[in-house]
Amino acid sequence: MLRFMRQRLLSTLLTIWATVTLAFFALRVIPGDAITNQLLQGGATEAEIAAHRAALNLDSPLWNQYLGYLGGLLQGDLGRSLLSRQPVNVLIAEQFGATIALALSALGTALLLGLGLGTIEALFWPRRVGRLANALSIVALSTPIYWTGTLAIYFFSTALGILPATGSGDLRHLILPAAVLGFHASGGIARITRASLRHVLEAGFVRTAYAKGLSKWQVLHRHVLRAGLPPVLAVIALQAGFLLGGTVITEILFVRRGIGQLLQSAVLEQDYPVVQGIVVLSAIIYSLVNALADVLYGALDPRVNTDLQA
Amino acid sequence: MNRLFITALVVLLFLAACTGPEANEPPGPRIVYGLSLMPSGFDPHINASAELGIPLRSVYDTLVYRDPITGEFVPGLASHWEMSPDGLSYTFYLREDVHFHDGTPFNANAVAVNLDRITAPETGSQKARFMLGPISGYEVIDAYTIKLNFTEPYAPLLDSLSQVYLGIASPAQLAQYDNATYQFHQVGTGPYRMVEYVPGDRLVLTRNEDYLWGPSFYVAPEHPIQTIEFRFFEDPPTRALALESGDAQIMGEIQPIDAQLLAGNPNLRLYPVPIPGQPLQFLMNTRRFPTDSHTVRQALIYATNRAAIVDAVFQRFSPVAYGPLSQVTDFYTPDVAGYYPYDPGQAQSLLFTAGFTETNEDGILVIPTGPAEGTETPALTPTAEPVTAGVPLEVTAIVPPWGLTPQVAQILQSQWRTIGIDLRIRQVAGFSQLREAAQSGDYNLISLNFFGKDPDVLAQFFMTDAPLNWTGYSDFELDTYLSEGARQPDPATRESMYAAAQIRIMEQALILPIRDYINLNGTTATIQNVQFDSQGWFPLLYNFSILTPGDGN
Repeated sequence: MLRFMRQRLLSTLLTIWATVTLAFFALRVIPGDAITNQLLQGGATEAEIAAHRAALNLDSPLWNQYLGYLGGLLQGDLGRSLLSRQPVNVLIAEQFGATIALALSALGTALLLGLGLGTIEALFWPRRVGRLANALSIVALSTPIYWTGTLAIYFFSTALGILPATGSGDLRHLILPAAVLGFHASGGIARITRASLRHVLEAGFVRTAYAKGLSKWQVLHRHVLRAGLPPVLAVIALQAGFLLGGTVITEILFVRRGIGQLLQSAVLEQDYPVVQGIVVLSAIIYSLVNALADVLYGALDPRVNTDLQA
Repeated sequence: MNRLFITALVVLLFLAACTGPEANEPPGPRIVYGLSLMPSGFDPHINASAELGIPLRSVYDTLVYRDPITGEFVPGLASHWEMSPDGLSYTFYLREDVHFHDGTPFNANAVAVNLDRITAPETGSQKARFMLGPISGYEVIDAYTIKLNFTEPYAPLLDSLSQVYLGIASPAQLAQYDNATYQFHQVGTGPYRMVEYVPGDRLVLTRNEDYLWGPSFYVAPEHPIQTIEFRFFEDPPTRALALESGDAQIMGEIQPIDAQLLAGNPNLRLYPVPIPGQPLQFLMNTRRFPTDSHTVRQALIYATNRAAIVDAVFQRFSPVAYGPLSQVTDFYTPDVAGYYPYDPGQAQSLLFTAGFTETNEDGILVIPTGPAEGTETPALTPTAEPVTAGVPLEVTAIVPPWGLTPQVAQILQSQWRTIGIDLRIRQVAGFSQLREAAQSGDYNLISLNFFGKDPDVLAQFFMTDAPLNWTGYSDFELDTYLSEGARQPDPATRESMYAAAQIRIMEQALILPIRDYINLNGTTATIQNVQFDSQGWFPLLYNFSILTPGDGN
């Protein structure tokens, strides 16, 4: 188990390094940078722009900048924003709590909805309830957040006036965005839950359980869910990546503070260090969540022998 | 599975408990003012966005102000000023009764500290520094007199000094914080104090009860707004929704289509504010076929039905533009309005003259093999490849994503198609890509415009060696008008220089102007005395009034 975790950690670090490198060079393939754009629009001459770029070390060779960045990264230094001069660490730390609050509450919603809908689909198909759950999960999967979000704002804020549409004050401000993002993420969880449970429902040991006289709910609780849920866990870990992406759109739509808003501004203004910092953070979170899921998977399902895999 | 549910619930409740407490609120009316983007930095001396000025215009005072009605320069922190006869220095006599929000007295030394900060290279000013033009230094004459010196006469100075980017900050505060942290602790002398700035979330101002030194057009209302919270509504469709749902009471840059709906809502008000500077325009590349031909450029403007564009894209919330400056810009000349009215027949006959005498199987005009007698062959610059016969009339436009420019380009495409011009639209993602396309030279039209009350903005686009000379046009006459326009202190002389420049630009058909920019502001009906400064973007918050339920309205 320990060897497995060690190896998993190593591959996680490799993933993060590769992501950072890709982000670093991909950003610089695109012409222009934050400071040149701002200065040109502010009325600076080419000479003045060159002086500014030199002061920010943007004119040194790319590999030099890259090594410098990696060196800083190893010491936990993500650099400074080109425009606001704030340390990227600070910029991210300021916004991180709000995004985690949104992502976790959306994950909670997605789990409730996804597992619930998936179970109902598996048990009640092809009855009407099952079909309804199926339809809902398809809607969740296939409608973009922009659409469901705008509808939710229209109904709950503009028409009914029961929930605030925008802002990041208290729990009331969290309900709509978490519900919209969670609903969207629940689709995938519901589909996998249904598929996994139906697979288990057809298994021999379930028939045996029925045969020995257990009630439907007892079978479901003791046998089907226990055997059917581990595959769902892997999907939930994948949804973590999806949620990280979804928070960007959700935060912008609901005017919430958070990493997503920060990322949008930084991308539009080509503020490299900020974008890189957020990419690093996302890579770390995503890799860690998936590594954790792998380890948990092994712990939950004895058939997955993590020692052998190592 | 039950455990999973319970865990999720616990996490939710925990997060609910974690959300921060509200800041201490002063009593009095509080409103939310929606900004349309979140500036990456909020320091007016360093950063360049117009958004930062919307709140900060009321945190700082400037040495001079511009009356929003007359456009005259009126006293601000300087009670009067004089220019030396050679135009190389300006002396400002400062008010003696002003103090900053932190109690620091305002004086010539404070102005000196601010000028030092703005001009220091390590500050990395993105806009303010360049607004000072060819400044060489300053002299503090006495405690309340300061003289600014220039290497060349610089007529736009007073306009620059009237803007928030050159607002005067408390020297004590500037000493306490560095260039990265001052933006969170800004202290000026203005009618509102900055209470807090939470990046990505809000910036809060509260009224400065000590404020007694406002410019002549600051008029205290009966029911002033005590606290203003600025929030960032970056997604355009959410802006009108936020007004309707009561999440915001004032909102800038409403989409034209939403503004139509808003105008019909009795609980909301619409304030269209013209923004001075350049109109929405396409710069025409004079170095590439077929826009290297003066005749073709003229024909393109004749072929454009601008009124139809304004109707369709801007819901009529805009005047049609005829020249390189919008109507509310200083020294705008109405004479440009005579140039190139919509006339497809005239466009066709000009194109015929330019050699496009036949139509190919796609309905696009072409130059036939062996130009017909009596027609002018396209004027070519020496570097251009000779044009072979049979080339269709194809025009490439580089279109940025902002300002509804893509929609405008689409209408242009269909308008021009009917008379045989093939417009190819290349949409780019942002300013960097726009600049890259411009540097490649591979375009006929490219859209960019800057804002500003002073017409000096034209120099950035039309001087031969300007960084944004994307028309590629080089003309001694135009260069002279624009450089003298910035140098001549006498407004009458400037007016004639800029009038000549505008006419020259239109005679040469260097741009295709579309519409003057209008900022569509929406408010709830409870907000009154809604006024904006002469630059158009910045609200005069001091004058705003709010009706509370007790007012019987």
